[in-house]
Amino acid sequence: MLAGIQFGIIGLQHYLVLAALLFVCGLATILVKRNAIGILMGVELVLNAANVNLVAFNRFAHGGGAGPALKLDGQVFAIFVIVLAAAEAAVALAIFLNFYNNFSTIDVERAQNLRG
Amino acid sequence: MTHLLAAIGLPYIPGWDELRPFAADLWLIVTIVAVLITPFFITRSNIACALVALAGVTLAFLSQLLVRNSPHVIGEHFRGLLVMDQFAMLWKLLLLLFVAGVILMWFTTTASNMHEGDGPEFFALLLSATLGMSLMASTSNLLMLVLSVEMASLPSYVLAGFRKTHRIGAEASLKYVLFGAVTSAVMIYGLSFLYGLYGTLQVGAIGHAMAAGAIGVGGNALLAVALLGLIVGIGFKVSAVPFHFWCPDVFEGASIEVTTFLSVASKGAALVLLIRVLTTIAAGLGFAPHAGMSLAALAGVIGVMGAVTCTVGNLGALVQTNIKRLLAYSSIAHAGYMLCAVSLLVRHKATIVGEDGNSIAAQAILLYLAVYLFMNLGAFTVAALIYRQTGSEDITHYAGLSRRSPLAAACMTVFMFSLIGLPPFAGFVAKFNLMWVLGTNGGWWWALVAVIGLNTIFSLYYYVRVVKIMYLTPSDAPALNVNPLGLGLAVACAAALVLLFIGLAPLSRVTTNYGKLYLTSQTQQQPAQSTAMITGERR
Repeated sequence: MLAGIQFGIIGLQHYLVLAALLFVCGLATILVKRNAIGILMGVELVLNAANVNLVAFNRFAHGGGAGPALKLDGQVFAIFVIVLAAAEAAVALAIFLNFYNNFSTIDVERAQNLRG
Repeated sequence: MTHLLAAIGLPYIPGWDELRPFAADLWLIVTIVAVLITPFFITRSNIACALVALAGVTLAFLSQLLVRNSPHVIGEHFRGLLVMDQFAMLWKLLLLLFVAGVILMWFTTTASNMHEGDGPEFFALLLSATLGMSLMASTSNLLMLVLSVEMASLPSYVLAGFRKTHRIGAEASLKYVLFGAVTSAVMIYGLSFLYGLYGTLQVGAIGHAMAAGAIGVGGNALLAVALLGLIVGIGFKVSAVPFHFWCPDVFEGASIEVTTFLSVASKGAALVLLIRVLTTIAAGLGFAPHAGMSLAALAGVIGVMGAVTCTVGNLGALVQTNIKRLLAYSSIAHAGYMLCAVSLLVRHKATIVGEDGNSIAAQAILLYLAVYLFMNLGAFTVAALIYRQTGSEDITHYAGLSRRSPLAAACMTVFMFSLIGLPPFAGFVAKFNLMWVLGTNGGWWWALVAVIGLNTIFSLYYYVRVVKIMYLTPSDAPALNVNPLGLGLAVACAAALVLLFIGLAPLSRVTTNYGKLYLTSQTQQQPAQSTAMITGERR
């Protein structure tokens, strides 16, 4: 499964590398951005990296083959994660709006009244 | 296309045998709907919603008690998505009892100044989070794991910032939602590798697949990423170091009944989930080091995390003057103690999980949570009563409390001594039992016992300081006119702590019987139904 990357044929490894890149981009966004919505975008990138992983694993490794043996666990998981991301974004944006109403900014550096 | 339709097949309709074990969760769903439609029938509905919520939680509690001995309750349900066993049952009962206590506490604290019309939302969110935490105990599938964790988290984020014009509340919920979203996303990324490596979402099947064979160097690296993701996601919920930064801020910023709810329910649910998932995987590997997966390393990581968490929690609490922050750090420390017990994954001297699935770590944690629930509910209730009268959460304002409200001061003293773990209060039983269980396994688990003992000495300072201020610092502040219902709740919690200490034998019998986990290794002869559990019956 994790043999060397073959050039010419798009396989599981390519998708895993893509997902890893998405994950790193997302994590970098989370760490660098000071704007709450920017951080939320980074979170969405990480979730999409997980989705690419799930769908690619399902397609290339655990699909079970055509017909009665077909398995869709990973695909279904990915659909749930998409819905989850939407729900999380809705809640997070509502909280950002509430924060904006109180602080007139959504810069997370300004959230310093409470000292951890 | 045709084979896709064939695979999807008929929709899956669960029968009564599958629904009955989850009577408590179904009652919670009914109650959420009932709370939301209450304002259509009654004007000025905050109190009415609270009563509906209290009735619903009580019904859920009773229904869970009634179904516990019914046939076909123990085992996997909904094609392996959920599992029900004694362990999950006792957690659900404790959780519902605790939520009923939190609703009672709401009557004494926020009921009078909550904005009219906010009641339905508040209780719908509270019960949704409760439903998620209740399902966290029953999860035996990675998809259910993610869904139940999010079901518990999303309403909690909103609850933390429920006071909309409160600046500190807004900041607390912002920090909570950002930390939570990041850690849960990393957890899902990790779980995707767990699925990729073993080809199933069933936790039991993953354990067996791990035992079946080695997965190579690259596979081991991915497994490390997968388990790291799981630890990040659950560690955030437990507030384990280094994912604990949200905890004191959220606890200070949220209103006090939300803080109480999060301090026990959210952390307890995460610990229960961690026990279930890790013990199921460890059972697949036979509780011994194995080529496919380094169980000893995982146990070591959890143990070190627990030790560091309780030390950081106690050291952080030493300098706090706000009672909510003090109890927040104290809850980090207690989560750390319980996390130490989760590290009992490898058999050294003791039998970790008996033939009947009775896990010693699960027993210890259930006993601890059963006691911790009363200690925290009581301590926060007294803090809320004082806040209502003085408008201050600073412990310097507790001066002379022994004279201003002798009963409240006496109750607070019981909670503080019980949180330290001193006899004759139940906190001693819970903590001693935890250390005993760790000690029976011998080996490096003795180090954890030593760390917990050392931490108890640290914690002595800040808990006793509260008692000292209440009894020894003079004050000419007027006597407190505390709410009788709230005081009754605090006295009931204090009485429970004394009674649980006296009634030690029956209590330990309950937790001994209810530490049983349903592990798939006992039913290995049955064909694994791990595939297409979501897509329905295959034809």
